[in-house]
Amino acid sequence: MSRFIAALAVFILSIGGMVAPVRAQSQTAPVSSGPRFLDLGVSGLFSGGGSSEPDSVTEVLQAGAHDPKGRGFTFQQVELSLGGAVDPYFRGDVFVILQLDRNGETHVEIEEAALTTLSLPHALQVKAGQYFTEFGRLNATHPHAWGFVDQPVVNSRMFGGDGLRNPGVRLSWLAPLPWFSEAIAGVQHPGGGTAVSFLNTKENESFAGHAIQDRPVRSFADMLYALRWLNSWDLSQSATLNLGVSGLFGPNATGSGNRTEIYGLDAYLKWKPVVTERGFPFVSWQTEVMARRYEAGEDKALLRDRGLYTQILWGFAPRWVAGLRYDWADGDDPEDPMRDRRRRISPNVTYYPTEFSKLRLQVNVDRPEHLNKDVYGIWLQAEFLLGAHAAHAF
Amino acid sequence: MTTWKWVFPISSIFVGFFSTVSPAWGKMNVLATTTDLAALARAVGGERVDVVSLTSGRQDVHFVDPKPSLIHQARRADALILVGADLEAGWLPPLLSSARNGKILPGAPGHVDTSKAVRLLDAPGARVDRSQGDVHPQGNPHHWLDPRNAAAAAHFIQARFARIDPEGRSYYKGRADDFERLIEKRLSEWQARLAPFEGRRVLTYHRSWDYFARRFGLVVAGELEPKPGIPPSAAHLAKLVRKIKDERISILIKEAHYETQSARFLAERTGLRIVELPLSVGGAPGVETYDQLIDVLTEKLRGAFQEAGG
Repeated sequence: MSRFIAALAVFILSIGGMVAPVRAQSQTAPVSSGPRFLDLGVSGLFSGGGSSEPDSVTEVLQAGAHDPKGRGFTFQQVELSLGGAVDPYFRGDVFVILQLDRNGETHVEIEEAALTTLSLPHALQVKAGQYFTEFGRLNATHPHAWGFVDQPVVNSRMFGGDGLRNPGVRLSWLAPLPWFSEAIAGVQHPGGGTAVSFLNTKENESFAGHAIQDRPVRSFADMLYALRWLNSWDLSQSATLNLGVSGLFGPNATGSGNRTEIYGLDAYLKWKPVVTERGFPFVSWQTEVMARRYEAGEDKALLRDRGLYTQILWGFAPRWVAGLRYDWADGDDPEDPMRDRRRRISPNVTYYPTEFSKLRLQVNVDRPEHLNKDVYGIWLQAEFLLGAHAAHAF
Repeated sequence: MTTWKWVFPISSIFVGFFSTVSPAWGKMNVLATTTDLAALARAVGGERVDVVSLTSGRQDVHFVDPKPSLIHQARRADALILVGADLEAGWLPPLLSSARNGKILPGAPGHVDTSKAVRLLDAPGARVDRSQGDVHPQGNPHHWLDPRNAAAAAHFIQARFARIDPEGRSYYKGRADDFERLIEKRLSEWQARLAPFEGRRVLTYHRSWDYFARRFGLVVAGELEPKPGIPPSAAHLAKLVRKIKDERISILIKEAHYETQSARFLAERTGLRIVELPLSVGGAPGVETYDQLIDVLTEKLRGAFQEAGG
């Protein structure tokens, strides 16, 4: 299997090489002197470090699928990104993740593979295929673009290790208001391991002690519905504020007719002066608050979970960014590692030799209620970006 | 009463809708990625266009955030004028794919890539990779600093404006011709200003002054950046100290957004003069039009060369 994957990767890379022989660029965007039919990029994300607890504990605490998982080295992911204009009407983007687990097994995931319309009338845009649900800010952001080594606790609890992503279709509309205002409504398949709060149909799994049943999708009522409204204002030439509200509605697999609802608020404030040296200095503040209502078991017992993370990134000198993140989550079950009260503080510092490489050192001070003690972790992360990579949204 | 209380909010939504869909009746909505291109668009479009620049004249256009407010503006544009050669590659693609505006996508008449109107310098050929730094494979994108390129870009813009707004064809043509005449007239004046210093060797911080230097007979002997986009290292600066002395280089041209520490290091050891120059319209007080920009650049350089003597 892994040999096949390697051959596939080599094949894809050689096609990319033929299509666009020359790639160098300013910031993280595609450049080619030849025809631009396919932009191809590869990013690799690795980490090393350790925790004050053994790996069996770290694997549970570091619940993101691409988080560092234990003492020594973790291969977090290699991401292949392929994208470009399909024709005058669509662009297509495919992200394939290759992951090497701690037993040396390689796993392949189709992270995203979606078509997006380019010029529908009335400021509409349709996206269809496999894609990250646009809930809050972090869920739809690829791991290599995160400001921290690992995923926030609340995201792991609400959306699982891989984030919420499934096949579906969504419509976005830019409202004709004097400021940027985008409304998004989508419907996605509710099942599988990438929808853990919904029809997670993985075998031999339970949710908060309630057995997961085989519950097929029977009607439109069984689909996962996602709503989001994002607004953005330039407070001045150098400060921008984004405020978003998101909601998810779908079935869950602990009983027939059981429903899950997740609500979220997100804020992003970025300050960057007009005159910068290579994009520095800047300060960004990002916060997401989420709450989940989960009907569990045949008696539809109501489980309420909530959590937040708030993080600040300070680009204090060219190439250098300092970060601080605070996590808090609670689900009123002191024994369950995924529902206990959890607090974590994560300071870090990142050095970017260029936009295409980075080195990051992060410390986690973690206080999980079910362990009843502090857990310390220290992680060093390295990343490289090769080829073209789609520039990141603001 | 209950029905009437909805009239005001609903009618204001409709008024808001129509007033934002067509903000300027009859005028073409033009976006430019830089203030220089906005100045050219105003020179060509005159009364028939509304021009907005997405960046400020003091900003480093390599590093712009694709803020939602820029998407908001791009949604309603009839034309987008860009420098091209991947200068805006870090932020324009996400803007274009979010704007839902077919009029400004690559291939449409409203996608006005001015790098197509000029001959680009420093194209590195096929064997470029990122170990050479931030090299633009199509060539050096700072083409607007040669006044003849600006005139060529103005004609390119004029032809595109005429395709989008055919009724204004002769108007745009006339104004582009006027602009070219103005540039030609002033060019001989500007060249005369720098003629006494022809062949002088200068250092630049970033490789942004090649077009300007070529037009005005100056020689760019080297850059403070060891490779494009890579900040100066101590070893590179030490090499430059020898080079400045050996080649009797007297002037360093630097943009305001780059650090001054390395420049001062060289100045203290060699007597090099640091000349801070605006790269764009709006980059210095009193630089509101394209010809004012070149006027200020040539005047400041003449002053610096005279003070440097020799």
